[in-house]
Amino acid sequence: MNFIIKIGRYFIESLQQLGQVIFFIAEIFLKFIRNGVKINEVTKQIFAQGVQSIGIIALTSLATGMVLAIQSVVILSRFGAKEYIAQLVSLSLVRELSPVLGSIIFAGKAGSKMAAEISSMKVSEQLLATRAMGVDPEEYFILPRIVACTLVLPILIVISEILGVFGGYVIGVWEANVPHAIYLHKTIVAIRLVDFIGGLIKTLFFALIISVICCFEGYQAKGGSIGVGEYTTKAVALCCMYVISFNFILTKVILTFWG
Amino acid sequence: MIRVIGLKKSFNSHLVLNGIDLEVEKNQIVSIIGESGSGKSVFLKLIMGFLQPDEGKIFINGTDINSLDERKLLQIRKNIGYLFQESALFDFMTVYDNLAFPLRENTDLSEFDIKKRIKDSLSRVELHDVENKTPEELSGGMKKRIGIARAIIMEPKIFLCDEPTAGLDPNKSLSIMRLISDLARSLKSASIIVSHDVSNVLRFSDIIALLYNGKLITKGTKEEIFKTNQKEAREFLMLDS
Repeated sequence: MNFIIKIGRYFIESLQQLGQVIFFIAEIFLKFIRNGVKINEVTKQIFAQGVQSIGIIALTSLATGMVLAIQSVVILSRFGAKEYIAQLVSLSLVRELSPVLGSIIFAGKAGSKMAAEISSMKVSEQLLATRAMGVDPEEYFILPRIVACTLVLPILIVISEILGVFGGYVIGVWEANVPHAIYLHKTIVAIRLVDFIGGLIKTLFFALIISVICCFEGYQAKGGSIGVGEYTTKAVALCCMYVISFNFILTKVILTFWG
Repeated sequence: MIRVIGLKKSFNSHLVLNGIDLEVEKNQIVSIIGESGSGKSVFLKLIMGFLQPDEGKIFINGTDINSLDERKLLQIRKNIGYLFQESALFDFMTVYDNLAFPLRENTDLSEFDIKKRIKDSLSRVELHDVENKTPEELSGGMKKRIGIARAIIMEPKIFLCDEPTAGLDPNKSLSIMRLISDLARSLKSASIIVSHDVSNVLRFSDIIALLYNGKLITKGTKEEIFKTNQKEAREFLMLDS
């Protein structure tokens, strides 16, 4: 009986939180429509989020492309089809790996910073102080972060795709001895516009998911410095979970309507 | 300027404020004293519209603030200076940017005028050459002074202070309370100070009220307070010892 009560309570709490998130998104969206966004703050956030994440995303993308190529060489060589490394690497990266992996890394780096900043401002009453001075903290601190994230993440993912493809090229040409002209030609032919745009559409959704979750969790924070840690960790874990789950849904939708 | 009628507020069925009535006029300092956790800060948060009361009305310059939405409340708050217990300075900004924040967001002042106003505010709180420091480089007393400077920089007609001397030694407490009193008088603002620092409150307030069990059980000037027959008030103020 206790178990059923616990499940019921968990279900109700989850519904409540979903309601709060929907209300939060609606409120932010209405403020964006009504008052626009503070360009100065968006610029600061673009710089902060972009500069902070580009190094780690570049490194992991390059390594992912190389690892993917090394694994492909081993398998495809058995069938005498190692020229197909280019297609395999580029399509995997553009369609799935770069948007998903890049977004998860972004959530861990810029998303955690976003959640920690907002939650620390919440618990130290800085957000309340903003309201006390007649300024809406959602317009000043939350909205610019969400807008900046949706602008920055797609750019980072395009860079990630280019570097991942380059990593694959390095292995394909130098280790698998695929002629570089053939490798480049096969890469260009393999990536269709729908693959590239599909990846970007997914990235836009992921950017919204990451920024909304991190800002929302930060905004809910309570309980001093321990609370900051808890809500930041929760935000990043939720981002990873939702990015991976929504990737399945979005992939299915994109392939159904545009595949 | 501030009128509170029959204010009630509870959290999870615990009644914190149980019918508070209070009026604060222009150029008047009213202090609310009481034990920690008696609801003093909740009272200020209700006046700021951060919390909604369960019952009762709060009028600021004749406007019932409980009937206003957040957008209108933001407009009202521009004319209120609020000193937070922990100062609540933006820790990622310098002192200069902390003080410039309300001016940049709420006025059309040029950067030259903002600089002048900041210099003037800092000199009013007796601080110099701290503009480029961040809050973490300041002592507790200095943070409090910057918090006061930020609260008065818009020259508010209402000034609310939440535990202004919390965490300060007796000398600093005295100087902070003197500063708040001087600034409140020079701005001719309606001021409410909530504190448990009885000696300083008695020294600098026009009216003192004791919050006990959710009610203002005694209210009056220093002289009237000393003559009270209220048992709880006499115990809290240690008048019989």
